[in-house]
Amino acid sequence: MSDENRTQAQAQTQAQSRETTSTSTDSTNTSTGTSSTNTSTNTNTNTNTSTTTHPRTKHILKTIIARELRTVARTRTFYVLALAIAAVVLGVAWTGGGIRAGYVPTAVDLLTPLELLVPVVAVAFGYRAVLADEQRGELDVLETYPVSNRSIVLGVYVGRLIGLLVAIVVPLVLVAVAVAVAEEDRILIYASHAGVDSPLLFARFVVLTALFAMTVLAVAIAISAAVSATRGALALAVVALVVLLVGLDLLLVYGFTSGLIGDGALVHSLALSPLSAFRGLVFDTVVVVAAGTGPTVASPLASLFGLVGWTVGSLALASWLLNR
Amino acid sequence: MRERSRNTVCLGAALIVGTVLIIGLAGLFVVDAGSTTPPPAEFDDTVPVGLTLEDERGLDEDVALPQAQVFYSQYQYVVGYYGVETFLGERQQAGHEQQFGHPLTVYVSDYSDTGLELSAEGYPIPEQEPGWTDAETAWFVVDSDAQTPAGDTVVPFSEREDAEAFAGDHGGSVSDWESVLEQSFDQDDATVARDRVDDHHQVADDRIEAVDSYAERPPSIVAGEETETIQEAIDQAPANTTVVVPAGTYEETLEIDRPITLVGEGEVTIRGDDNGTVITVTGEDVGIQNLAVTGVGNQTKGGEDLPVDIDEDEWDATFMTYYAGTDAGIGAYGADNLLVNDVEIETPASGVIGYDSTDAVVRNVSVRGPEDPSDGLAGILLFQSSSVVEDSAVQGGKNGIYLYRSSNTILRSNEVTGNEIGVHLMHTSDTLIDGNELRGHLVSGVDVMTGPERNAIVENDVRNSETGFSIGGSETYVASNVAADNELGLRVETTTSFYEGNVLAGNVVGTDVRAMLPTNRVVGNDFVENDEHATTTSGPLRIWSDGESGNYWQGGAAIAGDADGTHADRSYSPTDAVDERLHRTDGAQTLVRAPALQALAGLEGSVPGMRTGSIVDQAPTCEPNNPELLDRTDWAESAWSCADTPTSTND
Repeated sequence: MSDENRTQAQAQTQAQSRETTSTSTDSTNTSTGTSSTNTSTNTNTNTNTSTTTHPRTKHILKTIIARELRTVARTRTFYVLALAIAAVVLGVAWTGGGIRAGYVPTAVDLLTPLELLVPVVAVAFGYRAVLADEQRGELDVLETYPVSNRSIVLGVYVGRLIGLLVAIVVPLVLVAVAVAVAEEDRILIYASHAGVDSPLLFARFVVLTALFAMTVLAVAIAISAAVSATRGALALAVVALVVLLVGLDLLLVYGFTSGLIGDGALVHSLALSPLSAFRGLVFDTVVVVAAGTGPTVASPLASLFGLVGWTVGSLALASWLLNR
Repeated sequence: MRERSRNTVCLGAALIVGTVLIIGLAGLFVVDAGSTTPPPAEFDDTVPVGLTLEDERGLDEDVALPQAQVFYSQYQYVVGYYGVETFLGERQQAGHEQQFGHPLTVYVSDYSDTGLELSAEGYPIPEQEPGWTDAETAWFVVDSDAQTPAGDTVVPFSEREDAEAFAGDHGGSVSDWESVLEQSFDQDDATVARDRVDDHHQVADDRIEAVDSYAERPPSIVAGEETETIQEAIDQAPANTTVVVPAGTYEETLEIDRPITLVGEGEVTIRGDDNGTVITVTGEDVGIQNLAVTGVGNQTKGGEDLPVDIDEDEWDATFMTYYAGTDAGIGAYGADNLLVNDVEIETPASGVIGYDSTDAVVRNVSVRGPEDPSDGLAGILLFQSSSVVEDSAVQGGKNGIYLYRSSNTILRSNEVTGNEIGVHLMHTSDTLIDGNELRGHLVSGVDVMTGPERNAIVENDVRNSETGFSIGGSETYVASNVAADNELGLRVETTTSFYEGNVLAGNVVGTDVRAMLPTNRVVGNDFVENDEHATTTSGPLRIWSDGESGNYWQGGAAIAGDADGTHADRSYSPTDAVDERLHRTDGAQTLVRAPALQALAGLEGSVPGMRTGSIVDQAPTCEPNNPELLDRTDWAESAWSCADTPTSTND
């Protein structure tokens, strides 16, 4: 543990000495940053509100994204995390028998596990993203450039998002390939067809999962911006996970059973919880297509707005928190 | 400036790429996933529904019944329906859409330009083989004179004028697809067989009552005393009298062609000459009582002619002669209202052969066939004879009781032991098999072949056989049976049938499902102490529960029950790699509660038609549903309920 801290500190010192937007190692483990690098945040009034797209701002945004990507690429923990996701996704698809059955059954099998897994992984990817910059003083460095906090948040977010999406989408694509290859041979004496089971529906599922990941990563970034100590970040991340995974849905259940949410409003209210919004979208665009008619499972537009709302809201909150 | 323009270009490119990407991704959600229309399949390649093999074989070459083929959203095989109304009826059945999804494409026979006529029975006879047309754009003649063997049929045309012309000639009204879909078409299901069990017993009682008077026929001649031979006595006896045979052994073969009763007094044995049938009956209203028959010939196949006229045009005339013309203790041909009562038969071939003998009654008959179950033909063999067989015993020989095209037969309370097949049904529908005891069969206890309809198989008990019950056909009712200590308890080959209240215990495999179509209702059964409770090799996921009604699975009764304590709190899939070992392997109960498996199980029952070769019970019960039946087996102790902590069952 101490070794790891020392290496990190050295890397940080080097990074600072170069006085550029440097690469840094990041870690998702619980190691606390050394206090020497923890310079207090001066809320410098940022005169450049960057209402116009200044090339320099854009350049810096690009640089921040590139730096985040390098961070992701150089952090071994992220690889471990990505491998873990891949293993779980492939394992679930195999155990559930979906791979042999088809695209839609596979998507159905993966739905619940991903509802739980994606938030955990997204929070792991993001909960220290802004915090680490702050702890290393890089925020102060960045703020000497004419770049808004919004850009910083956006840059960090986009950079991490690319990493996260690769970690989530690649295993899903592998699963789709596995389905295409392994789909059980049909009994040849009968004429068969695919029904509505098609890669298209699985592609929808992948896109929705990516959207879901985007949303929860944004929440994680907001957490990261909200705290100033690693320990606090971890605690808050855990609280946020519990709220995301259990709390919001329980709240919906409470609202529904207590009558606060009327019968007509439930299908829209589902959008308030990212998990339920995601689940509803998958049901509506992937499962019901195959299963046939029945009661409406989701309001796709409301759910979509729900996810986008959580994303934009969280990012806005993050930049507001940095502005404090 | 140059940098600026380069930036603008970059920005523009990024915008375009982004827009294309977003439109592409959004497009995924706009495209209709089921929009591709598959071409029609060969009807012979579809999974067929709605016609028994007997009816199919019985049709003339030039008949072309209306057909529909349906491509469902979540069933990978094309389903072929005989009669458009069969599809229309099936789709209104409960759970149909859950199992199959919705129809993506429906093709129906197209009788336009085929020169369609109707046969005398109302079967469609087109001059040219009808092609296929999309049901959405077709026109349908409903309530015309057209028929299939199952009843009224809807006749589809691609052209409206053709439909109207047909309706003009043969009655009925013309509808489009939308309005045909809204009409209701009664589709028989297994409730018909279920609700008819009592009626069938009544039919059997009536048949027995009808022949009861044979015992009261006045005695006219005592064979051996007043005449030299029994045959002479039979030939001299006036109609509706009794020929009495005093105790003793008589070496002769008999032929009865008149309505008399042949009764043995004391120990009477008729010994044939080991060549041919011993007692041949060719008249109606004949009674045979209290005799032993032996000295039967050993011909079991290759019969060349029958003592009665047969319809050579029947599709199976050769087949029937080949077997019905073989040797038996009693051979009855055209012998309606026959009574065979209290008769013992020892035979190397068959015991009783009935051919075209309607309302025959076989009671208290005991047939001892060859020891080797691959020898002989059948203890009781009935061709085209709606009969009653009760309180009889068959031991040895290839088949115990064999029904061939003998619909409306009642088999009850018989004991059948040591055959290849105990009770064997070929082309036999609407039959009741009730309360029979079957033991030690080399192939199967009860075997229903060739896709008949509406049979009821209740309260039978099969042990120590290769397969207990092998049930084919449709709309069949299988209830309250016991299959214990067999290699395989029950083979399910049926569609639209009910399996209720059966006990499958101590078998290597409880149930094996072969049916391609998941349209059986399987609830209220008990699976105890089978190595594997249920297996399936092909077809989709079957859901073996209906709302609150499920089955009892030893192992599926979990550590925790639901609030009422009547159902386990998790679904059970006997085909799942972990679930199937819950009752066999210590620790499996803990493993199965892993959140990862729970998460998977949560949506297990969705899109069943797309899943492969599996079974799930979403409401497994905590206690056996049929404790009394289960008590009859050796395995009642092994059935634990939800609250119990499962212990190792090997002690």
